[in-house]
Amino acid sequence: MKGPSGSSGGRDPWAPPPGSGGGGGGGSSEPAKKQQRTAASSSQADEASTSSSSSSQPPPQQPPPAPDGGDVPYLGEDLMFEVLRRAEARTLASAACVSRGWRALAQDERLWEAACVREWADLGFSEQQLRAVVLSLGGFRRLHAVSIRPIQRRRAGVPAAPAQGRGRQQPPPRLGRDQVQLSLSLFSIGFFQSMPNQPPPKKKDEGDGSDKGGGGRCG
Amino acid sequence: MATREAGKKMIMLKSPDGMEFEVEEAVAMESQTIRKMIEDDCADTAILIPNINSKILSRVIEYCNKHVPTTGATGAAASDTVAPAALAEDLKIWDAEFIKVNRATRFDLIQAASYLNIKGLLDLTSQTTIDTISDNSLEEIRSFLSTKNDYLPEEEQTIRRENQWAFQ
Repeated sequence: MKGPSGSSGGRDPWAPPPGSGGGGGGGSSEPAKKQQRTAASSSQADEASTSSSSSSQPPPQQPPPAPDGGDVPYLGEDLMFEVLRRAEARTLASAACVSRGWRALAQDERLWEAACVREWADLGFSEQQLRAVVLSLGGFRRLHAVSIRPIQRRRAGVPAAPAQGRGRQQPPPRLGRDQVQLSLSLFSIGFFQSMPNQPPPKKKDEGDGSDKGGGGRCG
Repeated sequence: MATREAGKKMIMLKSPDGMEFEVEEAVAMESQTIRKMIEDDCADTAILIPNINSKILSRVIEYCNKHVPTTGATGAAASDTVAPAALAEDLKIWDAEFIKVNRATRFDLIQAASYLNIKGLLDLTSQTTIDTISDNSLEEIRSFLSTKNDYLPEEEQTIRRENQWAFQ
C-alpha cells in the first residue's frame, strides 16, 4: 500500500486529524516526536531543578520512553501502523492505553475503519452500507462504540448495559435488519447533534442522501 | 521482458555486511521491490539490499524459497500429488514454525518485509505481533514494545475509563 521508502516523511499521510486527538487534555504526541523530546527534556529537567514551581509539567525525573531501547529495533511509525492495521478494535483500544504515543497512533481513523469494516463484515452485514454512512458522517472509532460493540455484545449474550445484571438471559442474539438500521441511524443522529451551529450545507445533503440510501437498501 | 521463462536464472543478493546469496530469480521476485528492479532492468548480476543484515536476509530468502509458487517450475518438488488444501495447511504450519523468533528478529523481519515488499511475510510478521499485543496485559504490552507509560496518573485514569470495554 504505502511505499516502503517513506520512513522519514511518513508522518503526514496518516496524521490524525487535529480535532480528533482531544481526549485526554494533554497534547497528543507521537513516537517520532518523542525522540526530539529526549533532547528537549534534559533542558527541561535543568529548568525544573532551578525553578521547581510548575506542577502541571510531565514529571521530569522520568526519562522519556526510548522506543528503541534495548536490542529491540524501533519499528517507526509507518511499520507500527502496518502492524496496527491488523488489529481488532479491542486491541486498538488497549493500545491507546499503552502510552501517549500509542494513543496518537491508535486513534488514526484509518485503523478504526479497517477494524470496523472487518468486524462489520463478520457480523454479516453489507460493507457498502457501512462505508457510505460512516464516510459521510465521519468517525469509525465512534461507530464502533455506538453500533458495532452493542451488537457484538448482544450476540455474545452480554447485556447491552452492564448495570442490568449479568445473570439475565438475552432474547435472541440475532438482530433484525431494523435494529441494525436503527443503530446506524443513532450513529447519524449523534453526528448531527454534535454538529456546530451552522452546518455546512453540502455535508448535510450528503448525510441525508446516504442515510436514505442505506435505508432503501435495507428496507 | 515481462514474460521471461521461469527457468533457473540466478540472482545474487548482497547484504551490507558483505554476504552474498545466490537465489533463483523466481524466489527473489517474491519481493516486489526486487521484481521491479529486475523488470526495469535495474539489476545487473548482483543486487545490494541495504539495511538488511545477512542473518535477516537469509531468513527472508528462506521464507521466499518456501513460498515461491512451485507450479510450472521444472525442478521443483512435485506438488501435483498433494492437494492444494494440504499444501496450504503445510505452509501454515511452516509459517508458524518460521515466526518462532525473538522479538528483535521479528521486528527486523517486519522491516525487511516492508522494504522488500513481500506481502505474505509482512502479513505473517505483523499479524503475529498484533496477536501478541492483543493476548497480553497492558504491562506486558508495554514491556513487549519497550514503551514506558508516560501518562500522568489522572490522564491514564481517563484513558483507561474511555477504553475500559477493551479490558472486560
